[in-house]
Amino acid sequence: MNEKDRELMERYIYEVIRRVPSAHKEDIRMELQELIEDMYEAESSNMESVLSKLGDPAEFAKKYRDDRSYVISPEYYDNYVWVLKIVLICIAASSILSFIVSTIIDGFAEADLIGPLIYGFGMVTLVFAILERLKVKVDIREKKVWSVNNLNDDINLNKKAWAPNQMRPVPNKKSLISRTETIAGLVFIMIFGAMMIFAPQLFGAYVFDDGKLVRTISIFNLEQWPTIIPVLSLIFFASFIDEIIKLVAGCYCKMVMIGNIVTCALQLVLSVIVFKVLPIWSPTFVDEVVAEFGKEITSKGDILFYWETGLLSNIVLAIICVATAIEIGTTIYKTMRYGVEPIS
Amino acid sequence: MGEEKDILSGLIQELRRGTLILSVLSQLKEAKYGYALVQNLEEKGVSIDPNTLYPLLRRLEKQGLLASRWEVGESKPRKYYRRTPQGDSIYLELRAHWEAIAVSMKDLFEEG
Repeated sequence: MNEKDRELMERYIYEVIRRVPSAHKEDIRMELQELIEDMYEAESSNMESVLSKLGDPAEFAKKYRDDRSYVISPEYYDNYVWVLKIVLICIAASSILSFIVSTIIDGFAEADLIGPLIYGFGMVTLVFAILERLKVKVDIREKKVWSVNNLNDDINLNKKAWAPNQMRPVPNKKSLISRTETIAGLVFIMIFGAMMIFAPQLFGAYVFDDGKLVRTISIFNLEQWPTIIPVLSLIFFASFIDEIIKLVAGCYCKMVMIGNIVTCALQLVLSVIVFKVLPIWSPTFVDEVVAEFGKEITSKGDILFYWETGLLSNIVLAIICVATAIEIGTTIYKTMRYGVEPIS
Repeated sequence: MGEEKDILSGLIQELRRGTLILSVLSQLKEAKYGYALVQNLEEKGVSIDPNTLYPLLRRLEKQGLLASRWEVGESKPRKYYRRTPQGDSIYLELRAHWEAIAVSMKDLFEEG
C-alpha cells in the first residue's frame, strides 16, 4: 500500500470513528483497518474504489450508533405529544390570564406568548429526549390504567401487555369529566398558586395617590412568608395532582375517587396548619390601614375589628371545609353511581 | 417510471433486511473474520454491504448471539466472529420459522 492510499484509509477511518461512542473507537478503528486492507487486496489495490464502495463515512458511523436518528422515538411519541399539549395549553392560558391580570393591576403589561410557549416546548422535548437516552420507560397513561388493576388485586394480569379486559366500558355520559373544565382548573391553580406564593402583596388594601398605585398593604404576613411558602406549595401541588388524575382518567372511576379523597384530605390538614398554626395574617394590617386611611375601627360591625381574634381563619377554614366536602361528595357520588371499572 | 423503481428497490431492501440476520448467523458456526464472511455470502448469491455487516455483527455480539476475538498471530490482526450456544439455538429457531414462512408463501403464490 502506498503512502497516498494509506493516507486515504486513515482519513476514512478517522471520519467514521470520530462519530462513534468513545468506548468503541479503538475496536472499530482496528476492525475498519482490517476490512479496508482486505478489500484493498481483493479490489486489486484501488483504494478509491474500496472507499467508494464503503460509502459515506457519516452513514457508516450512523449504523454503528444503533441507527438512532430521532430525538423522540415512536415509543415515546404518544406520551410526548400528550404532555406537550397539556403543557402548552397551560402556558398559553396562564400567559393570557397573567397579561389580563397585570393589565388590570398595573395598567399596562408586556405581552409575551411566544417566548413561554417556545420555552415550554423546549423543556418538554428536552425532558423526553433525556428520558429517551436513559431509556426510562414513561407510560403515564398505561400506568394509571394498571394501577387500577392493582387495586382490583388483579395481580395475575400481565401488566405490560395489552389485554382486552383492560378496556373500560364506554363511560356513562354523566361520569365524564370535562377536559376544558379540568384544564381551566389547572390554569386557575397555577395562577392563584403563583400569586399566593410569589406575590402575596397583591392580596390586600391598595393605596392610591392621584389615581396611581403607591403601595399595597397585604393582609398576609410577608415577613413570615418564607416559612409559609412550603406548606402553601404542597396544597397547590396536591390540587394540581388531583386535576391531573382527572385529566388522565377522563371520567369518574376508582382512581379518580381515591386520588380526590387523598389530595383533599391532605389539603384539609395543610389548610388547618396554614390557618391555625402558621402566622399567615399580617399582625400590622389593621394598624397600617388605620394609619393610611385614617379610619378608626372600633365598631363591632366592622369586620376588621375581629382581625386578631382568629375569626378570619375560622371563616376561611369553614369555607375550605365546605368546598372540600362538596368536592369529595360529588366525586364519590358520581363514581359510585356512574363510574366504570375495567372487567377484572 | 423512476418512482416505481424507487418503490421496488425500497421493497426489495426491506425484504432482504429481514433475511440478513439469518444469513449471517447461518455462516458463523465456524469462526470467520468480517471480509471472509462478505465474500462467503457473496459466493452464495447474498450480497451485503460491509457498512451494514460490520455494525450488524457488533449488534449481534451485544445481544449475545455471537462472540468475537482478535487473532493477532497472523500477518495482521483479524477479528473473528462465531455463534455462541445461545446463538446456535436462536439460529435453529429462526431457521424453523423461515422454513415455515417459505412453505406458507409457496402456498400463497400457487393459490394466487
